Amino acid sequence: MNRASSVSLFFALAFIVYGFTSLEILQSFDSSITLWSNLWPRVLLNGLPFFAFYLSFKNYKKNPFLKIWLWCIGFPLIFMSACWIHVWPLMLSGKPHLYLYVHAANFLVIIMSMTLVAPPPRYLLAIILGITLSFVLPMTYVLYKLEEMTLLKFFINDCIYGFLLSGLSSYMNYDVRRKLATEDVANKRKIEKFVGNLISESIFENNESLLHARKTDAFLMSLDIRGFTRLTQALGTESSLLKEKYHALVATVVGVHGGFIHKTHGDGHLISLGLVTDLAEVEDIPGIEEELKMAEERRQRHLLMKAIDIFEQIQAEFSTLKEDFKIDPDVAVCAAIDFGEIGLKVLGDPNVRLEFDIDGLVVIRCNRLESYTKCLRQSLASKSSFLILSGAAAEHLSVEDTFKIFSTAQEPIKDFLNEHSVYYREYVPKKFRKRNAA
Amino acid sequence: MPNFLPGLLISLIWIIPAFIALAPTYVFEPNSLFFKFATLAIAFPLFAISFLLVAGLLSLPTHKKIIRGRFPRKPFHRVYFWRRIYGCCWTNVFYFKPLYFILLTIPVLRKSLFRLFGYKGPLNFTVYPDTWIRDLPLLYLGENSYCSNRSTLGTNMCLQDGTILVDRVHLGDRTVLGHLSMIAPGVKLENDVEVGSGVALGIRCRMKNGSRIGAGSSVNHGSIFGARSETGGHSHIGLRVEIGDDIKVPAGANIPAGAVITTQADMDRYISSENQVLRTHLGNLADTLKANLEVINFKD
Repeated sequence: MNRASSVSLFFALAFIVYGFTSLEILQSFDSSITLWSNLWPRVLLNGLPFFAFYLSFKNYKKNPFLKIWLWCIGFPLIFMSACWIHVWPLMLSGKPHLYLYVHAANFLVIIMSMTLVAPPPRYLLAIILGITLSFVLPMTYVLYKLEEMTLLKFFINDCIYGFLLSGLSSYMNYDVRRKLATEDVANKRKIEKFVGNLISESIFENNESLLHARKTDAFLMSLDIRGFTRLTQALGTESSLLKEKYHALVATVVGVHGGFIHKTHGDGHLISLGLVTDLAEVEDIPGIEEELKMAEERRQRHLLMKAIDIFEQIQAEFSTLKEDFKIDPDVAVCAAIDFGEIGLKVLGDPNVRLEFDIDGLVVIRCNRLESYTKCLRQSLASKSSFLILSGAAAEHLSVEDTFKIFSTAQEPIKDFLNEHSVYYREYVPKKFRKRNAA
Repeated sequence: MPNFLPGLLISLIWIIPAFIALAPTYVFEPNSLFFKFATLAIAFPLFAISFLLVAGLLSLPTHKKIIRGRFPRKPFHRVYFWRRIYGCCWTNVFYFKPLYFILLTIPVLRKSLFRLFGYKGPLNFTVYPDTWIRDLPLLYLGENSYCSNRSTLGTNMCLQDGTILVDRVHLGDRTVLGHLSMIAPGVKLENDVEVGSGVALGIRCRMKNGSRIGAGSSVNHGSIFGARSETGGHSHIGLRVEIGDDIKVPAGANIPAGAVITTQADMDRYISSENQVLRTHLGNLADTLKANLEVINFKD
């Protein structure tokens, strides 16, 4: 309909201009025709209706089906009314050769109406039918009645070629557009895997409101492999294969548990749970405040459980990878989970690079806690995998979840001196015991 | 301020069509019996069409005010005032069942009815005269979607605090709504969703592509069902529950508020913990019963 709107505006102007340009031709057949008598019907019967179409089709998303039918029926009628302004009456009064002067203009209009608008096939057929009924058949009849057989053959010949070619090019145009639209959807699905459904939806559906800055209470997990640099040096070219498998493993496990990977950096991952979600807002519903509070508490407990599950599964699978690649047992996956208000907003330069990034103190604290696993490994003289929970995250632990407390008095967490202790769980290599959660 | 609006609207919606329907009889003053019958015969179609047109045209200026949000139910509130006009026009048609049935049956009239009342979506869906719908500008019924009779597509909900909650209802392509099912404002059912008979879906629930929910289930507000998930009949899904893709919830399940179930293992955990609770409860009952029987035996 957007295309029909542009074509309508062009026709609205073109038909009015034709009121001036056709005057000389018409006067050569009938000297009584004046500029006024040629102009006002074209303005009233052609220019204004096409302008009304232009205005109506501008908002093409509203009632598109009604509008496309309006175009299919309205266009042939306006076109027929244009033919009736002096041209057909003069032809019927015994001047059939006038048609030779308007033939090119007629076919130009018909071809433009089909190829530029390029409607779906059934609407294209409706336009062809409309033009046939309103223009081709009456004209055939007129020429036949006037016994202008040469002109009739010329007219029918051009009609066949004109309709075939413009119909075909219109269909091809439509098909290309349809394929592009299909490709758009396929691209969206493809890109979704890289940037998440929120960003892909905002890009492909032009819905920037999805990327509005927001803050949500959510869990954040920072995951890293301790000793990965040494491992890369030791493995050489094989390290790339290990990295590939490790990234696939993390993506699968996080995806299964409904988490979202925000960043990867080498062997490091930053994963959130409960942040990128399409959960509906129900806070404005009165009378459910208590229930909602309870629901939120349970939700946070479940999300924490899932975060722990994610780590444990990755840790367990990584042990298998270690065996496959004959990796030094010192190498271990470590992680920290934190909870708090996390911001989501678009950062960067719109002309260079934009990123829908996470933001907030929790992000920094989580990374510091993850680095703190090094201290734990040193302090406890252990080569195990460690999972650290911040105090805020530990508040959502179930009673049956067992985590030890480690005082940070001896070695405080960098930049977070008020965090006096952390909760941790140690995973001794090859002795992974599956959690019997909840 | 006296409220003349409903009376005025009802008068216009009924009196104008009545005049139009009877006009041929008075204008042409038919003398022959044939013409008398002819004018009588066209009176009803004339009445039906003009009734639809008057009600629909009167509702036209209000379409822009049929918006989502929460508004006080005050007669002269800037949104609620227009909602009342729209509601009056729509309900005049909706509750006039024989007419509404005819309008739904004849395709041209059906199309005119829905478009006049501001419906923007596709038109090849199935609704029955007793399927409750209103706020058509906020309604989307996908291609070949089916709403059983007596199902309720509640785009609005009056709340006890004197406000009204209005939100969109979206039914995707080929979605089926069972008999007596109830859909609250803001519900979004994507394509190929099946909602069983008597299912109640709370405010802003979302069912993703191909998901199903069995008969008699109740779903609290804001819950999400993943794509292709299957929820058995007579289940209770609590507030803001999140069920992941391809999850199978067994019949009669009771999922508490806020649960996040993204794997089938999560689901099984729930069911086993529920069974555990039931077993404990059964054990306690047996112990109590045994103790009481011993007391009775002792007394005997």
